[in-house]
Amino acid sequence: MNAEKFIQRLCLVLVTLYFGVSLAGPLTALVVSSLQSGDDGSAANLAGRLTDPRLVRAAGNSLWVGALTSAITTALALFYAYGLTRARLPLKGIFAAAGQIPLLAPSLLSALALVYLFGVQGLLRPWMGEASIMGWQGIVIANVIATFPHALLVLRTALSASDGRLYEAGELMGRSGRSMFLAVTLPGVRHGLVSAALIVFMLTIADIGAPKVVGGSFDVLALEIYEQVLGQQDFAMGAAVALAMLAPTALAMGIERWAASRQSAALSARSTPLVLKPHLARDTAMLTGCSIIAAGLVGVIAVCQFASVAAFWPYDVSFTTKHYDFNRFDGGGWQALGNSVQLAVFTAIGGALLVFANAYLLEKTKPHRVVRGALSGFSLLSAAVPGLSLGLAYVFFFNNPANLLNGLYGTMAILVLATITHFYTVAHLSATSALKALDPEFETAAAAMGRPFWMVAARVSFPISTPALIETALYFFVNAMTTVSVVVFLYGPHTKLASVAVLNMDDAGDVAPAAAMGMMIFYINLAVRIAGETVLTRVRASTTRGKVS
Amino acid sequence: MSEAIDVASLSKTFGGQAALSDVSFSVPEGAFACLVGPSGCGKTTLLRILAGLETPSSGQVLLNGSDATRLNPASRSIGVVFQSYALFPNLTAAQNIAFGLHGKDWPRSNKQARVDEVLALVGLSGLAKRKPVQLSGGQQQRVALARALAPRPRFLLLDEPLSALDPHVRGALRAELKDIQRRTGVTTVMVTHDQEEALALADLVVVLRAGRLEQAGSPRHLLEQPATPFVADFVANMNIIEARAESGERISIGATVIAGVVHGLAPGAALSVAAAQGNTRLTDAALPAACPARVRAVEFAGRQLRVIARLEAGGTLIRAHAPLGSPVASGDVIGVAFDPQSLRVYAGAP
Repeated sequence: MNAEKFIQRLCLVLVTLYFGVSLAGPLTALVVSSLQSGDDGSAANLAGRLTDPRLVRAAGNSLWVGALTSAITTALALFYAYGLTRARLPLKGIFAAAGQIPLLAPSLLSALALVYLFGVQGLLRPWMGEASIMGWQGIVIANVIATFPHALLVLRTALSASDGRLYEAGELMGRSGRSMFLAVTLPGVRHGLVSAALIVFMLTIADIGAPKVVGGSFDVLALEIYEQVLGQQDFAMGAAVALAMLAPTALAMGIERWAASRQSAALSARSTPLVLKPHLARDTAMLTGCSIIAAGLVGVIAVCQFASVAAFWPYDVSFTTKHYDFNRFDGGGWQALGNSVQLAVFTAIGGALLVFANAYLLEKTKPHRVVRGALSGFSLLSAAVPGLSLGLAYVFFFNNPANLLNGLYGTMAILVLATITHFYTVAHLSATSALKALDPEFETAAAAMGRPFWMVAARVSFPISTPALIETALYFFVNAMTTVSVVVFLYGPHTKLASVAVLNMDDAGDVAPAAAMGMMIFYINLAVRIAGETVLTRVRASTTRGKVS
Repeated sequence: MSEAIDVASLSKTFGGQAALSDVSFSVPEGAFACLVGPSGCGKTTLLRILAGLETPSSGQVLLNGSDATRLNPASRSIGVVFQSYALFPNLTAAQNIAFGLHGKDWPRSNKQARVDEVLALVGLSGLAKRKPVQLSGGQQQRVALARALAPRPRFLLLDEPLSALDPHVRGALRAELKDIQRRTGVTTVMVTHDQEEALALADLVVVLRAGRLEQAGSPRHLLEQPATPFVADFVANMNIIEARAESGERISIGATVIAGVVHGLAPGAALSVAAAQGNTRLTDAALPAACPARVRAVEFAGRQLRVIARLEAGGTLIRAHAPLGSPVASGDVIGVAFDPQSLRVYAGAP
């Protein structure tokens, strides 16, 4: 065996080991745990748990809020994305940035804003009469805000890929704008719509922040796992619920991938860009609608910022910084914020490198088709596992004294591993598409020159992919700062995290410090994002394109 | 001249589909060979097998007399120019060229000198520091050629290197390519689907069709003695006409009998007849040795007209030339006559 084949095989073994430890092992432990520790330790026991009336009700509730949030968010995001891509909107850059704002803050922050506005002591409470924000309606609104940027990203990309020739052809045939929308635009973004709806659905049913803060007595699966594990210490029941939650997300992920495989390219090499002509009714409607949505998204952050520096919302709004004195409250203090940054940095660097190395192996090397097929499957599987289920699976797997990796439990390393794995799929898909865009003959050319594949990877493919690598690192960073679900069961006394602190402080009644912590996460993410964009602009300018058109 | 490349009974299948079937030919040392054929005929597969990028299902590749069938690309002493050029976009022209100069044969001091030397060879001395995106298509093609030649390979393999260029640049580079090959003396195999390019460049033309070898030989040999109707049509651009053997040295095209054609076949046997366009004349349809045809199109072809007509017997399309100003128009019924001595006869219908 020559050195090149040996290195290829070694890399495949290492990545297989990674997925074994990060996904296959924990998920197996989760299944085993859900079957054990009952009266008879049998599968019948699991069936009994899964048919528990409380769990069935929570499952129904989760599906309901998931579906409703998905429908509303997808519709709003389609409208907003249409405004950004197909209307002559002024200040498009600002609208685009506003649409991404919720991504930089924990999803809890939108729920906290709802409490500040519509809660018992909410600013707008007097206008609401008997209506209450607590319950499914609160969960849906909070999740619409939190998941909006995810749907927007997908739909904006889908709508951007427009072939101007089709619209010109329609115009020449005398078709109206409405009929072109139905005949060309909508079919073109069909996969984007399915994808956005399913992503929002998966995020919503896995979310724990909104149900905890504004859910009231409305039970959902995510909260059920949390209560079973941390409240009742019934790990077997928690495992059963975590498994139950896996079914709809796995199904949603399966549908999304199936839809992706059926999507044909919207653009060909001969496509021409769509030139937008002024259209007063359309542009006015879009400007109005997008302004309202953008104001809502910015408003959420503004309310939290305002409340976090108000002495006692809403009665005494004089300025104070006391809520930022985190060390006075439970949740881990400033140390938690430091830990979160540390987690985000490790996740960003480790995640981006791992994802690209694996994507490179899968895309650019040939041998061991079966192993590569399995790795490809694992790369997509992680998106189908809700964060809470994954976190709990890690508890069962790593907290087992018989496991050689038991020492990782409670450390920063396990948090990094879990976070990378949780956000793996989206990063993998973007790395894969970046590598697919490179000339497939690079490796062949190097082989003909007697140069090994890693030489091309190190000197050519990775340097050209630097913008995508930075994007991936930023994606990991921002998500590591904000995630709650995947880490909530895994942090130790020395690895408390800021996002979890928001949850815990709110739970303890320290709502303003919770908002303040949420704002700190937001500002750190904003700073990193801006710095990242600056670097990206420079890198894009310096790297020449080697894409196959 | 000894044989540098020997391809013996080479076959390759992809998932049960034959890409190459029992292909054999030899390329003498220092020769320029062209693999030519229509899309999907297996020419690129054959080139990739020569490069060691694919392994044949059966058969042998001998390089300078040694069996290289299973040898990896790095051990074959080959330089390859790809259709897309595969230039590394983040490296300069010089860095691209130096990428293949490695190992103990190329200490740092020799590398730079060699890069300069090949850049001069392809006429790009001043452009060493440019990245591919800053070079024109023709310049990129030259960098790719320089990169392939830099390690002083014994064999140069070119996969349709000129196909991405516009016709004007292609013509100029074709001559330069031939000149560089002659100066370096490297045994070269080039894939092309353009028979004109193959005839202009090659010492040896290897014609492939559906994975099988149709004929291998010098351009003159192929033009004068095409072995099959396909070679006559694809390489020599001849008219291929359905005919029938008659007694003696006679054949018939429909009702028209043409004398003076040697065929050696039994009367009544089906034939394919190849006639060079230059030996296909337009005459009066009433003449006894003329085949009646109806004109389908008349095109300008430089200083003469190209007439495309359909023979009334058999319906074959015929291409012939006529002087500018000839009174021939679409829809006319004309006669087509052939020079019997120049006709090539093949057994079996086209």
